[in-house]
Amino acid sequence: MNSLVVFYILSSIITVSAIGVVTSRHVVHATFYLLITLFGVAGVYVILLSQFLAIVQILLYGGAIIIVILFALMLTNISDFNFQVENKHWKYSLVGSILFFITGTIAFFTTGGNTVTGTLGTSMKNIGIELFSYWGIPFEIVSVILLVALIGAVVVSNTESNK
Amino acid sequence: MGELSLIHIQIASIVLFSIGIYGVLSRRNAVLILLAIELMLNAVNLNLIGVSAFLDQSRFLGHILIIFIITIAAAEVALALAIVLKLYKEKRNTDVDKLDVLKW
Amino acid sequence: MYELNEAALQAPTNLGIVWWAPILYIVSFVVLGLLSRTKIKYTYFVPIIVSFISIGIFITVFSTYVSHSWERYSCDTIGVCWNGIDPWFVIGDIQMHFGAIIDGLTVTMLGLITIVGSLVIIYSVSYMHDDPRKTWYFSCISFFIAAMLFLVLANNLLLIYVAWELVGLGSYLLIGFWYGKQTAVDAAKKAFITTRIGDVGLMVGILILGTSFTTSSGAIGTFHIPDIILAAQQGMYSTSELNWGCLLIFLGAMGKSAQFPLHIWLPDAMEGPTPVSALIHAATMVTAGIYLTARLFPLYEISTIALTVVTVIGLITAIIAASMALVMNDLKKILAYSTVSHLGLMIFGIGTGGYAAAMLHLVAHGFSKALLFLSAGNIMHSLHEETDIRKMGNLRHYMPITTICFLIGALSLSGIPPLSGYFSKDMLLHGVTHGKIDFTNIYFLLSLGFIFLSSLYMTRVFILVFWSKSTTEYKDIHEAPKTMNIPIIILTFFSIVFGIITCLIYQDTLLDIMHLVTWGFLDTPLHFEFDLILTILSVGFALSGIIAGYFLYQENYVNKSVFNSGLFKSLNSLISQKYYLDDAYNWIVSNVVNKVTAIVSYIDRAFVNDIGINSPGEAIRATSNKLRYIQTGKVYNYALFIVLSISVIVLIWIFLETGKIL
Repeated sequence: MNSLVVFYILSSIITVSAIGVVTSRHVVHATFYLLITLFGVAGVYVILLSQFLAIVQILLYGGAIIIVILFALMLTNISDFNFQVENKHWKYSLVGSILFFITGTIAFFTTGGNTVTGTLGTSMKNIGIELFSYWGIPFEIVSVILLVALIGAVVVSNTESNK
Repeated sequence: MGELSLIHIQIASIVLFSIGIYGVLSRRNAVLILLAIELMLNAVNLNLIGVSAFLDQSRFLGHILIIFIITIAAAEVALALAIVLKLYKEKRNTDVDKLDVLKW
Repeated sequence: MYELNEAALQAPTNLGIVWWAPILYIVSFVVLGLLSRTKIKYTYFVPIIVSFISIGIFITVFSTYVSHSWERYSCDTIGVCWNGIDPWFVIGDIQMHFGAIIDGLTVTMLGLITIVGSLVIIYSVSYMHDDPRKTWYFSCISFFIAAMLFLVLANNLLLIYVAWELVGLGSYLLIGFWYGKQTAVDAAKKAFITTRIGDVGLMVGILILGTSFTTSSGAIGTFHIPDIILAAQQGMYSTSELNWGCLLIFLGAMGKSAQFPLHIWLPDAMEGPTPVSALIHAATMVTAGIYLTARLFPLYEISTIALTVVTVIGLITAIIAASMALVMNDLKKILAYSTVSHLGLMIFGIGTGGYAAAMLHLVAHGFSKALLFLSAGNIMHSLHEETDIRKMGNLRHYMPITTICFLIGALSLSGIPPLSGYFSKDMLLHGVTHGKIDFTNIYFLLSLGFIFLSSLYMTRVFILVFWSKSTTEYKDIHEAPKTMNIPIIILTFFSIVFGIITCLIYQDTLLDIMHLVTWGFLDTPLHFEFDLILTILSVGFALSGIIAGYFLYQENYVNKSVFNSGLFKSLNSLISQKYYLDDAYNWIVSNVVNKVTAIVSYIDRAFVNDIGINSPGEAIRATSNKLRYIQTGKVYNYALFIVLSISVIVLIWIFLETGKIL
């Protein structure tokens, strides 16, 4: 099928799930909507022939982040799982996001190169070489960041607060 | 219908981003705000991969950046949730509207 | 015609010694000022030694000036002019020099200041013996004498102005020396403010004279006095500039020399210690105005309006002050009004052209009035600060030396030959009449009236204080100690011989000393000429004043009924209320000045301060007070603001980059 049609299907899935994330009253429902959104995005990666990134996305987001969020929800929200009311100023937020949407659209339409079509080629081998040679130092730094975040999370959770 | 082109992916990205903004601004639970932030990050990833796949087929810089972004998003979520748990221990609720001590 | 003799500008180098006099006095001021809070005794030796050194300097300068071969200074030069520091500083086009003129005028004033200054310092040693702040007193006196010396030595108008203000400051410090007394504080303020009114005129006049023309080198003008006189002679001033300049400078002289109507401060200035009155208000500060007018006399010659104003004001002052001296009851106030009256006479003398006579009278009056003031100090010291002459009398038995000295001073001021006052008054009359006795000359008639009045009030004082029967009982009254008597005796000696020496014996020297270049419009007597008719007239009026005084006050005719009737009584009340001048000034100050200052201060506070200076700070404070509500502490608000800002910034950026939206 035309990749455009697939893309339309996927993007509608993404949009509906995202709206579900932000409007759901039930926090666990919201988390699962997020999971579906992430699967949708992974699908888009596949269309663009970056299968490896799609797998990475599903593994990390779906496998790690969603699980962590679920744990956090379990630990903090035992009593009121069902009852989440929005902020009382949600109309202004709507206005803000629509404004941002308009801005973004204008931005994307006035910068060029939008109508490029053609072959999509993704070579994982090139990405690998690139990642470990040219982007070697950022790679190491990101691993340090992971370590720091791990230690930080442990420290924040374990420190006794001064009453 | 035409071919799949960059503008379609960019529109999808900006829609996702706006929805993420709405989520950040209108949710009261701290964890749900983090969910919306994840949405925003994914929107950015979409944009990047689109640009990289269509326009930068020699070096694929966008792809590499996406790997980094996903990693850092994971680290950030972990840390943020640690803070939220600490907050919950103090105040026994996670309503961010009640966090207004640093005000005028 | 003037020409500045270039060779004349190379002064004999030993004349540089003249600057040591004021500098040493400044050193004494600083040293004593620093010591004024300690309890070191015998600090008064410092000013005494300095005063002797300055007398030595004066004698050196005087002899150099007299003995130097002045024939290379033809009649066209203005004396030795010496620019010590060249220039002192420069502001834009205006150069301020620090130099001295040494000519007859300067030398005269130098002598008067140094001699009377040292005598007053010696007198003060014992007069202020019991005062705990006497070190500060001597410090102030040194400062004052230093400032006065700077004033008479200065060769440019800016330096004269600086020294003028410093002299006013010294006088303020000394009048208000006993600052515990509210009357002394008020008197000091009054003196300063009244002279300040004159100083405004002085400043404007100096600026007019100094900047109204362009010199040959293209500068905007000069404040150098010989250059100013030269420029006036060459016609570089327009008439109105010259008139205004001279009139305004005379306003300054009016303030400092207590001419009508700015004379009100001098009688109140008697709140200071008596030696201060002797020094400042008899011999030195009040003569600054006369000195300045005489120094700029060639300018006044050209501007006849100013000269007429000078004459008239001098005469009015003389007569009015003499009439007020007649009805006062406070010894020092009588002497103060007498000083004002004689200052008016000196100014009047300058106005009629006899500036040499005026300077001569300045010196003679300086000696005699200082003598009278110091004798008054003696009397007050013995009578424990009593000054009301109605409570005194018959002092000649208790204080003989003081009596004799006071008598000689009074006679000298009344103009009895052969004391010095006679010579100077005669020269003044000569200048008024120019040799012809003309009874239709109003000036002449009024000056004769002045002579009568001055001898009348002098006789009144003498009789009431020393001669007539006392109305109170004296306890424990004795003659003053030697340190107080010796200066008085020295001053008496000078009163006696000064006139004779300068007018009879060394006439030619006087001619040389008093020689200033003038236009020759006015017939200026430069030396004393004996005119029999004039002498008979002046001495006759003086003697009639004495006799009238004797009859009125000794025989106590004043209480006879004819003198208590209407005209005399109302005249008496008018005069004793000082012609209601003080009340007029008070009314002006409280109604006009205070209201204007209230308005001005309101404008200053409301507009300049609150709106001009405070308003940026106030605006920021008010704005931030409203803006702080942005910090609500809620995450939602901050995030929304971020989103909106980014949208706006991106839109603007796109618009700027691509020139279109969409």
